[in-house]
Amino acid sequence: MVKEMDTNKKMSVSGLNFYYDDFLALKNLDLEILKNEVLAFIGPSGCGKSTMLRSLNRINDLIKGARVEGLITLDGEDIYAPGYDVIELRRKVGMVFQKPNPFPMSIYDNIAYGPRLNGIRNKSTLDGIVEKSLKQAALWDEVKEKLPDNGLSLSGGQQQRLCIARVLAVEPEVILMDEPTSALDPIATLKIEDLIFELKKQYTIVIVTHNMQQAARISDKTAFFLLGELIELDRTTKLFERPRDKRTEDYITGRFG
Amino acid sequence: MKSKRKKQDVVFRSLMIFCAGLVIVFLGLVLGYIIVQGAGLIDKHFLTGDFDAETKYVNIVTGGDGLLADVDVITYDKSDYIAITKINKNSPLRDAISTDGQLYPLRVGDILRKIDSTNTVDMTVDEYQTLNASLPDNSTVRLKITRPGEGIFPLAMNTLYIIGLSLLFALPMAIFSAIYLAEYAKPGTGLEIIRFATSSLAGIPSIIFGLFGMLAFVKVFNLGYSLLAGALTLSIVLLPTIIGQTEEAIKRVPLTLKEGSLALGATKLQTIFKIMLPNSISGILVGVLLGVGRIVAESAALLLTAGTAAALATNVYKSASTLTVKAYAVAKETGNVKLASAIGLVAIVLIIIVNAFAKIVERFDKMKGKI
Repeated sequence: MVKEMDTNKKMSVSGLNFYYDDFLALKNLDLEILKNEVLAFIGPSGCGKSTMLRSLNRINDLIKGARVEGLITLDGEDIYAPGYDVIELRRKVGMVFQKPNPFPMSIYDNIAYGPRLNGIRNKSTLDGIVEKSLKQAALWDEVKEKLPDNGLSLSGGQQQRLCIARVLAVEPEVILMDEPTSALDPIATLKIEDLIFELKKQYTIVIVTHNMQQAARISDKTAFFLLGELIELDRTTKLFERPRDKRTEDYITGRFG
Repeated sequence: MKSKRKKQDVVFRSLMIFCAGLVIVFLGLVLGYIIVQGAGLIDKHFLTGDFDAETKYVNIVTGGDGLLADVDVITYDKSDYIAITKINKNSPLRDAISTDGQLYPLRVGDILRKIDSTNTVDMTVDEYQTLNASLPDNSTVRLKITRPGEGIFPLAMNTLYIIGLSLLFALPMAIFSAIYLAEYAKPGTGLEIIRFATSSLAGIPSIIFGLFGMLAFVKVFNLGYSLLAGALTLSIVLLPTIIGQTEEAIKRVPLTLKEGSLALGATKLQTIFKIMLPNSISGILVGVLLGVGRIVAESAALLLTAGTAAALATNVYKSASTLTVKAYAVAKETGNVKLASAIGLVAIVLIIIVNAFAKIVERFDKMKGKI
C-alpha cells in the first residue's frame, strides 16, 4: 500500500458506491478529510450523509446486506482491504451517536470501558484517563463528585458529553459525530458545539447535522449530499455564501429539505 | 331486530361469565381439596423430620426417678404404642446411647416400643407409669424406640440438589446456545430448524425425557437411579425455556449500546460479554425461575431417572426423590392421599413463590425499559 505523500490528508474516499442489498445509497463518491479540520455533512433525510459517516469506521458492517465498492483510506491505508484490523480502525476513528448511548454502568466505568478493552487494568492509570477525558469533554466539574453513579442518571446533554469523553478515552485520531445534538435542548447543544470547537485543535472531526446554522457555526468545510450524491464540498463560508450548484443554493435557502 | 341482538349479547355474555366462573371453581376445588387433605399434616416435624421411620435399640442409665418423661398413647402401624410427649430437663432419655455406640438423644414424638423386655403394645398411660416407677435406680435400661418418619426435610433438600445440579449443567449450555442463535447464526433455514427444534423440545411430554434419561444416563452411562441421572435429564428439559428467554433478552438489548461498544474498538465477543449479557441478566433470571418451577413440578422424568429413595442424598450417585415424585409415589403405592396432598401442598407453595419472583423480575425489567 502506497503511503500518501500529502501528510495533511487524514482520510480519503474515492469512487465509493455503497449498497444496501440492491439499493445504491452512495453513488461514485469522492472526498478528502484533512487533519484537524471540522467537516460537516448536510443534506435532506435519506441523502446518504449518515451512510457516508458510518462507512468511515465500518460500523455499517453490522447491517445485513450492506456492501461497499471503491476505496476509503485512513493515513493512506485501505480500510476495507481484506485483513485490515477493524478493531484498530474503530479505536482510531471514534464515533458519537445521534442519541446519547451511555452504557448502563457507572460514569467511571463508561469512560474506562475503552481503555479496559485495550488491557489497561491499573487503577491509577485508569483514574488518570477518566479525569483527563472528562475534563476534555467539559464534564469533569459536573460529575467529579459522582463518578460511581449510573451514567443514565445524567441529563441528556451530560450523557452526550459522557459519550464524547468515552470516545476521547481511547485517544482516537478522528471523531465521527452523527447528529450529536439532535436529541438535545438548545443550551446543551451550545455546550456540545463549544466542545467541538475545543476538540478540533487536537482531533479531526466529521459531523453529520440536520441543522445548517450548526454547520455554519462549527465547521471549516461543508459537504452537501443529495440522493446519494456529493453535490458540493467547499469551505463552509464559501458554500453558504456563494454555492456553485443550484441545488445547494436551493437547499440552504430553504426551498426544499 | 335490535332486541334480538341485545338478547344475543346477553346470552353470550352470561355464557362467558359462567365459563370463567367455572374455571375459578375448578381451580378452587383442586386447591381446596389439597389444602383440606394435606394442611392438617403440616407441622414442625413434617417440615424438618426424616421421611423414613427409624427403629433402634438404645441404652439409658436411670437416676432415681425413672425416665422423667410425659407420654401418651398413639396409633402407629395399626397398633397402639406409648409415645413421648414431653422430656424433662434432667431426663436420662437425653443421653441415650444407641447400640452402635452413638449418642442418640430421644425426641418428642419418638415411640417407646419396648422398655427392657416389656412390650408396650396396647399399654395404657397408667400401666406405663407403674412400669416406670418399678425401673431400678442407677442402672442401665435398654429401650426399643421407633422414630416415625413422614417428614419432608430430605425430599425438600433433594429437590434443591436437583435444581442446583440441573442448572449447573443447563445454564452454560443454554446461554451459549442463546448467544449463538441471537448473535452468530446466519438467518435462514438452518436457524429456523434450530428454533423449531428448541420450541418442539419445549412441547415434548416429560415422560419422553424420562424414558430417554433412563436409557441413556441410568443404563448406558450406568449412573443408576441417581441424583446425577435425574439432574442430567432435567437439564435437557430446561434447555428450551432458558434458551428462549435468554435469546429474547439478548435481542432486546438496544442496538445503540451494541454499536457504542463496537465503535470503541470492542470485539464482538467483548461486546457480548460486557454489554449484551449483563443487560440480559433479568431475562436469563426469568428463564431460570421458570425452569426451577418446572423442576419442582416435574414427576415423570425424575421418577424414571432419580428414583424414589426418600433419604437425603449424600452424594450424586444416590437415588433421590423430590417432593413431587414422592407425592406421586405415596399416592400410588400406599394410597396415603393425605400425605401425598401435604407434600403436594408444599410443592405448590414453592412453585407459587418461584413464579411470583419471576413476575417481579419481569415487571422490574419492563419498568427499566421505559426509563
